[in-house]
Amino acid sequence: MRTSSQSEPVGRPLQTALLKKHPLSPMTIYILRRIFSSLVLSLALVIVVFILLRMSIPGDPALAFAGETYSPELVERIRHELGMDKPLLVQLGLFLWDMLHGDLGFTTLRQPVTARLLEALPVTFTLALTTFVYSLSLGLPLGVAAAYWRNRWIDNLIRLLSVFSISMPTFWIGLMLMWWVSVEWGWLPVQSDGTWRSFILPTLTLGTGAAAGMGRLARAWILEILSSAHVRTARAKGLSEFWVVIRHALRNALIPVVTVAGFQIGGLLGGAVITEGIFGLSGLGTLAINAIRHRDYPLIQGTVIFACIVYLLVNLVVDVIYPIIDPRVRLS
Amino acid sequence: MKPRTHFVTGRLLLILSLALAACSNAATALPTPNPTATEILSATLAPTAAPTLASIPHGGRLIIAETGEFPNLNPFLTTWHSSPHSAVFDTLVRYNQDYSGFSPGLAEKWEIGPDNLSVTFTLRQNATFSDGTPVDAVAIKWNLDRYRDKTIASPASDVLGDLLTDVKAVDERTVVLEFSKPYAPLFDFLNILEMASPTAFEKWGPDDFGQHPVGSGPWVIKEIAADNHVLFTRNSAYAWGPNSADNKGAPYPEEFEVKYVLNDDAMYAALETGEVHITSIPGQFLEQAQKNPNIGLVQGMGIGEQYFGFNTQHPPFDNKNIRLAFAYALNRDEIILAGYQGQARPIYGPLAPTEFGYSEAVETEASQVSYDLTEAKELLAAEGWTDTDGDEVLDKGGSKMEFRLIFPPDDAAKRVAETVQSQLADVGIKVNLVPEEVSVIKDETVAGTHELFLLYFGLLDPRILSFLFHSDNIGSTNRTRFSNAELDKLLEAADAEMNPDIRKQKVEAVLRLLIQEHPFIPMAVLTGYTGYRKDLVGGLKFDKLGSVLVNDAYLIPK
Repeated sequence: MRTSSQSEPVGRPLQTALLKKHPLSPMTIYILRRIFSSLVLSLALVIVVFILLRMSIPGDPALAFAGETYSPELVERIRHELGMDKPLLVQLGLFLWDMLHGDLGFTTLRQPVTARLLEALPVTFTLALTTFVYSLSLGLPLGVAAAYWRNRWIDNLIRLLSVFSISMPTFWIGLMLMWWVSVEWGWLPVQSDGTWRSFILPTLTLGTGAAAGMGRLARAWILEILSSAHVRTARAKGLSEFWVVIRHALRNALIPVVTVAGFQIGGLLGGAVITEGIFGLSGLGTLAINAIRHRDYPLIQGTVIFACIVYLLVNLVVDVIYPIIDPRVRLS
Repeated sequence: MKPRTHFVTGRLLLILSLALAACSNAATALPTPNPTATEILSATLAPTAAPTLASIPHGGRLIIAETGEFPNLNPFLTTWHSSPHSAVFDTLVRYNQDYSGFSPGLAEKWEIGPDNLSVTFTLRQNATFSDGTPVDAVAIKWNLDRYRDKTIASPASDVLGDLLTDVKAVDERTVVLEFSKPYAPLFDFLNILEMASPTAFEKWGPDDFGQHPVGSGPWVIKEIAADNHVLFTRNSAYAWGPNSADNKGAPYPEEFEVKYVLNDDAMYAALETGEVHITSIPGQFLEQAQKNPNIGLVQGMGIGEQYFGFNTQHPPFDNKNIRLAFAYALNRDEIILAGYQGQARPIYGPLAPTEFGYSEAVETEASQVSYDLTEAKELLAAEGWTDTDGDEVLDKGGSKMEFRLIFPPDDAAKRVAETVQSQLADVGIKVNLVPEEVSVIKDETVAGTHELFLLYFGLLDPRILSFLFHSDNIGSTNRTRFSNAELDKLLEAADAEMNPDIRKQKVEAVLRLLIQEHPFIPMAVLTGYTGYRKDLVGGLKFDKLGSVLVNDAYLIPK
């Protein structure tokens, strides 16, 4: 760490001086700063989501809860039960206070929102993880292969498949996999049976497009790195093209891949809404769809806030590990 | 393998047709069968196989798939009584299988007081909740007191709060309910009041009871996986099955699962693979299902109607003749073919055949006002609406015959709205389509800002007509904002009449007035299909709604 700060000879004398006086290491300060900004962003986000939902969602949730036959008195009582009869700012204040205590309120079916979210999280987390691993383990080798055999038939084939995979809507991939793999061949269940097998088709559905994107990115980066000076030096030393790609290009190409992977989490959360619905996985996506269908204000709010916070957390983690894998960005 | 090949081809065609539908008017003819009313009414099915009682296989897991979300199983809070509710809970009375009247549930018999202001129920002797506590008079009183408690915002308290004045546990098996006024829909209402174990409720509390429900039904909760499934085990102590079941005791399968499936394709695919045994058949899969020799199909009829509503306080819909002209302009057969893919039947009167009080005579009379463009145009012309400026839209005194039609945002309602728009254009009425969430439609009808709307209602008891048309309910459930003093009196009389035969006559009087006034245009009763795997499950019975009775069901050993 010190080596890194010492290696910056010019441009930051004041900051370096301040850092030297500070008892915390620059890396710790950087992490604390990122955590603080994430917290501020989370608070702003919660307030925006809270207000936006109340301003923009059409219809009265109390009416949805009351059913088909009801009196105005019942609707008023439900509104009171849901706290909807209080001024907006009071509702927001109460919500923030409860949220600080881990309480996101109750769904319109009187189930704790936090409990529902925590029930659904492991499913979505598993799906995101398997998708990430799948897209990385498929996309990266394809990207390497495409770069290694650039402008040859194999590169063209990979490009064609990538464009096809990226262009296909997630629901279409999901339905096709379901019809062929589950119905025609009977290899896997149509709907989740609670075992690891239930994650195979959703992972393929969600990860195929992501793998294609990852592959294209890896190819572009590897090609760029292959034309850089240190690779030319490696070649001049007599290293074979294969080892040049593996040892020098691929290693450096991992850096942007990690960044993109962080952003991909957002895409995965969005894609999970459709994929989970098709394959009967009861994760955050299914929860969100049902919350919207049943106009469950507290649950919609909880799901959106939860998803955003997960997204912020993932990006925080990426930001924190980024300087570790790429020393050049430390303290920049 | 052959049906499966057809199936996959069908999927590709469906996807293609979805893409095409996005670029074209969806209101085109769809080649699906349009069943006759006789076929629909004969939907009640005999058991799928009939082994002797001793040879009925026990064990296994019976699985049904439903759309939608796992509900709250706290019966005091829910307005939706789904399969898990009837698996876990029993009610005092039940509808007969043909919905002609009521048969015993937890109450063995009952007697209505001479002034129609009380009912005395005698409970079954042996019934217990699945936690072992007795279903006695004290437990029933506890439940009914909770249902009528307005402080917990129970939807039931809306009706029972003022109506049910007292509940008395006279002895262990006798409960007396006292009312402030005679209320004919009482038994329909009691049919949905599920009885929970007071001991279990006190143990878990109102917030957690929904996760740990305890009732006296044929099944006991084993696992709740929200949004995915609810799993039950058989209640081995169960011995009070409904009259319609041969098996009055505990179910034959060891387990029962209700799976929630969000996607139509997945729903049907799961039936094809045998992952589920019973499910509704989405319209687009009917043909494939018919070709599969292992899938049995039962057609049921929906409760209630899909209808076209006016804001009768908004000119010109305050004029009965204008409403009548609209009724003549709508072609229900076309609407059903385009909108509901043939899975509906036309309806002209205010009640569906599945509802108490439905009258063939009234339906025949109402059907006299059917699609007739000439009649529609003449009526509009007689009211002074003509096309003076040649823009193909009628006008009168500077006002155009142009309105806003709000409808729910689902695909079927969209297709119906587009068909209605095209049909009304034929008589010079311009309709602007505005898809809105159902709750927004409700909001607008409460506030009275709407002009025209598409919506649906469903209730087995004709008390629905009071909700929809009594002037006291303008600003809440009277969405057409129709006000007619004579109708109010007729509705009140029908709701207060405890004698079913006399009530039927009083309901008929209500229906006759409604078909003269046309505050709304009844359009269709949905007639969906339920599919089941006849090679995997036997002993199923279905009622005329297409609902399945699983008390006699068993799994066929492979």
